[in-house]
Amino acid sequence: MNMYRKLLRIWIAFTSFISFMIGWAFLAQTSETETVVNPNTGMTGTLVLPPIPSVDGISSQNLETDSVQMFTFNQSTQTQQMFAPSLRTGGS
Amino acid sequence: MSTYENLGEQEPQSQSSVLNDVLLVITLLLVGIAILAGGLLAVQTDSASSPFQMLNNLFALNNVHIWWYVSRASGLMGYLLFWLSTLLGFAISSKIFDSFLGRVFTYDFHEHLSLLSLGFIGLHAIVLLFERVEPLSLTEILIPFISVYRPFWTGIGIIAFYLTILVTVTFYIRSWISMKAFRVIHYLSIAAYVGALFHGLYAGTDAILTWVQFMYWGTFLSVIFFCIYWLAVVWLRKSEANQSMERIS
Repeated sequence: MNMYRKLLRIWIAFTSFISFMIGWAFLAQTSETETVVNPNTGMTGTLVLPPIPSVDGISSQNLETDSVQMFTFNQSTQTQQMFAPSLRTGGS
Repeated sequence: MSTYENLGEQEPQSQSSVLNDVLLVITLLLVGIAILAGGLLAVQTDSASSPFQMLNNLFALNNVHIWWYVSRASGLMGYLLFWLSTLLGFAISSKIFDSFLGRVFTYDFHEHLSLLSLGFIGLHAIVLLFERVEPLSLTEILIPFISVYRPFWTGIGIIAFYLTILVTVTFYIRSWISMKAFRVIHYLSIAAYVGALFHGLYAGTDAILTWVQFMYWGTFLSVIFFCIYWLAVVWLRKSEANQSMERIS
């Protein structure tokens, strides 16, 4: 195999790799959005997913039990109604 | 390499300049596209404090879907290289490029593109093992039709991959097998290409995108064109051979 052919092979491999990297970056940038279609109007729009809220702002002090709102369980005073369907057969 | 010796042809030096021009144009186009894409991405991404941060933003290195992006990009790249290799395979048989591209070069590209596509398809499959949201197990990657994710079309893709490996291996064992066996095995590459196409269309995440649909169907139409041309050339050769045999007899 001569040098020219070797260079061609390297060139093809290099451009393929660069194309792959461009594709990776492109997909990474565009996949955060999703195209949606309004069924009523037929118009397309771009749905941007909201960022996940960060937990960095929560300090350890906020996690003390004094500041945490305790959930209370309120027992329902209403009596639970039983809906038993009355099954009747009309006979044959 | 033994394959070139088998072809019995010397490198056509006169066609090197044409090839140089073609490569230069393609290189300039790719560089232009790369600069454009880089500029667009730089505008789109947030201002980075460091090169690593920039790379992190560009390739979503901290994203939970990073391996999914790598798999999709390598799958698309593997398909495109496999498509080019398939076209060159038809071109070698039908000699459609012989007027402007050396036969040895066509054969060399064909073989090299097959290897490259195998590499990218292998990467496409292997990185799915590391996917954090919907990982595939090794058995799901190796054994067709047992994958949780779109089992039928994923299985078709796995079979196409195995066929591509088989066809590519025959490049290197060509001296050990008969020419007829080499050709018969090579016909399987058509089935492998069709399998890869439908795997991409029906198992690919990006198949819903318009440009990806255009890419798949455009490449498929070009393969159909080259296939019909190849069949016509084969038919003409056979009819000419039959006529010459009749004349002799």
